Amino acid sequence: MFHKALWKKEWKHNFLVSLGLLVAFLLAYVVSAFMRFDTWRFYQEHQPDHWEHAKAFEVNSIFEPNFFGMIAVGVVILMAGFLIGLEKNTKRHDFAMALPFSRREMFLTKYAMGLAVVLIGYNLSFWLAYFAIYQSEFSQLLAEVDLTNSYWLPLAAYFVIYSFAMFIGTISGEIKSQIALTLIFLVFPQGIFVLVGQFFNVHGFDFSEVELTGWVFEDLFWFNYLNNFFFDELNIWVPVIAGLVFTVLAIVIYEKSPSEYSGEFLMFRSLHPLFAFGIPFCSALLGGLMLSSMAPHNSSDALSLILYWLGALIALFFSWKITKKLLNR
Amino acid sequence: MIEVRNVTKTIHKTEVLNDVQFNVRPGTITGVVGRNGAGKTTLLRMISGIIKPDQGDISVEGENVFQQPRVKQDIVFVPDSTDALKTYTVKEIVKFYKVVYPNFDEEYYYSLLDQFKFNKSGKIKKMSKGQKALFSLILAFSTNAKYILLDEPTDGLDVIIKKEILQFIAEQVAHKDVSIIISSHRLDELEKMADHIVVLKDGSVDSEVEMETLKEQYKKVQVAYQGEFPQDVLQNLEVLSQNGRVGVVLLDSDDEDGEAILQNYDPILYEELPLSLEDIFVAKLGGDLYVS
Repeated sequence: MFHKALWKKEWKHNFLVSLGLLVAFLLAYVVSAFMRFDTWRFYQEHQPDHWEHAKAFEVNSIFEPNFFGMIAVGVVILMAGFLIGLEKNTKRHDFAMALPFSRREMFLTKYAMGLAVVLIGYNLSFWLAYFAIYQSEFSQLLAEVDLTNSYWLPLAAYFVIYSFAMFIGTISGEIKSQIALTLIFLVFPQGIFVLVGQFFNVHGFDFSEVELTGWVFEDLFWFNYLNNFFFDELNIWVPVIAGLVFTVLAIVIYEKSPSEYSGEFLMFRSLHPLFAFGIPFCSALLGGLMLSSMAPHNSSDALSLILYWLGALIALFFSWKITKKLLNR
Repeated sequence: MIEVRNVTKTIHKTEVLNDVQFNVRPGTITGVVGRNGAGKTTLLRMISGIIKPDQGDISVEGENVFQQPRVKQDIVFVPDSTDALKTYTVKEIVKFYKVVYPNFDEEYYYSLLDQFKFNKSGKIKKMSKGQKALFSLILAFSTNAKYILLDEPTDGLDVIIKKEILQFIAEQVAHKDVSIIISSHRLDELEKMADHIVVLKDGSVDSEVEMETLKEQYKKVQVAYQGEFPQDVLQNLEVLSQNGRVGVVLLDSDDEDGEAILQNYDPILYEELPLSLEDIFVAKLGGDLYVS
C-alpha cells in the first residue's frame, strides 16, 4: 500500500514544513513549560496566595495549545498544501501521476505522512512537557491536569483540521486556492449564520444565530477544541467522526479528480457555478456586515440599511470581478 | 503493444481529441505529428496515465493503464520540461528511480553521464536547458522501460544539442528493445528515425503512414520546359512548387499517366530529387498540415 518510492518523494518535498510543525509544537508545549517554571517559582515565593488560586489554571494552560498551538494549526494547513496543492502548481503533478502507482496509494501515502508528522510532533511535545513538569518541583501539580481532555481534544482538533485541509486539497487546483478555501470553509458554518443573521437584523427581523444554531458555533467550531475553556462542553467524537468523513471523501475525490485542471482554481468544472454564485453572494453579505457595523450606535435603522447595501454592492462588484478571473483562468 | 482505442477528450469545453485510434508495436518508433494545439501532449499524457479519456481506452501490453497502474513500470513519460526534476540532485533522482523502476540500470546511467560529461554530484536545476533535456532522456532510457514517450524532446534547443539528442535517441533504439512515441511539430526530425507516423489534426488522426513503404510509393521530380510551364501539368499533377519554367512535381512511383504528361511537353530538365516526408504531407494531405 505504501510504496517506498512514494514515501521518499513526499518526504523530500515536505521535510521542511514537517520540521516547522515539530518546532511549533515544541514551542507550544515544551518551551512554554520551561518558560513558566521561573514564573511559578516567583509566584510561590512572592505571591503564595495568588499561586494557591492560580496553580491549577497555570498547569492546565501548559497543556492547552497557546499562540504557538495556533501557529501549529497554520503549519498543519500549510503542510496539507505542500502535500497536495503545491504538486498541482508545478509539473510535479504530471511526474507523480505518470508513476506506476494508483491514485489511492499516492493519496494515502501523502495523508499518512502528514498525519504521522502531526501525531509525532504533538505527542513528542505534549509528553516532553509532561515529563519536564514531572521531573520538576511542580510534579504534584500534574494531579490537577485533566489529562484525557487536555490530550485528546486538541489532538482531535488537529486531526479534523488536517483531514479537512487535505479534503479541500483534492477539490482545489493549486496551493493558494487550497489554503484560502481551507481557511474560509473552516469557519464557513459559523460565518454564514453570522452573515445571514446580520442581513435579517439590518432589515428589521430579529435573528439570533448563536441561539438558533448553538451547536454549529460550539461543536463545529474546531478551534474550540484547542481552548480548555470549552473542554468540558465538547464531545470528542464530533471532530473524530468529521475527520474520518473528510478523509474518506478526500480519498474518493482524489481518485476521481481530473488532472487536466491541475494548476487552476478548482479541479472540478462542475463546481464553477456554485463558486461563481457563492463567492460574490457571501462577499456581498460580508461587505454589508462590515459597512453597516460602522454606523454610529445611535443612528437610524435607515442609515444602517443604506450602509449595508452600499457595502454589499461594493463587495459584490469586486468579488464578482475576482471570481470571474479565478474561474476563467 | 500500446493500443489507443477510440479515445476522446474534452478540456475546457473544447474537444482536444476525437476518436483517436492507433497502435504502437514493440521495438518501433512512432512519431505523433501535428501543429501546436493538435492534441499531441494530451495524447501522450493519456497514454502515460496522467489524464483519463472521456471515452475509449488505452492499454499497454493488454492492461488498462488506469485500472492497472503497475503496468506503468514499463512506460516512462519525458515531458517537454524538466521542472519536476529540478529539486533533485543527479544522485538523488537515481535512488528514486531505482525504487520506482525495478529494471533501472544504474551502471548504464552513470556510464552515459560520463559519456556526456555530466557533473555527477550536481543539482539538476543547475544544468543548462540542453543538458536537462539530454539528462531526462538518459534517465528515461536507463529505466529499461519497454515504452518511452517523448514530448517535443528538441523543442527550443539549439541545433547542436538537438542533433546530439536525436542521435542519442537513435542509438538507444538501435541498442535496446524499446518502443518510442515521439511527438513533434517537426516532420523533418521525425522522418529520419520514425517507423510509423500518426498525423493529428484538430484532435483527430488525419493519417497514419508506415515510413518503410511511404517513400517507395512516391517520387519527386524537378522538371523545366523550354516554353511556359504546361497548364496540363499544373492541373493534373501534384506540383510542390513552380517558378517560371521550372517546377517540382510529386508522383506516385507507378503513375505512368503522370509520367506521360510530364514527358509530353519535352522537358529540357528531368531530374529525380530526394524525397522528404514534408513533400508528401504537403502534397497529399493538404498544405495546412505543413507543420515544420
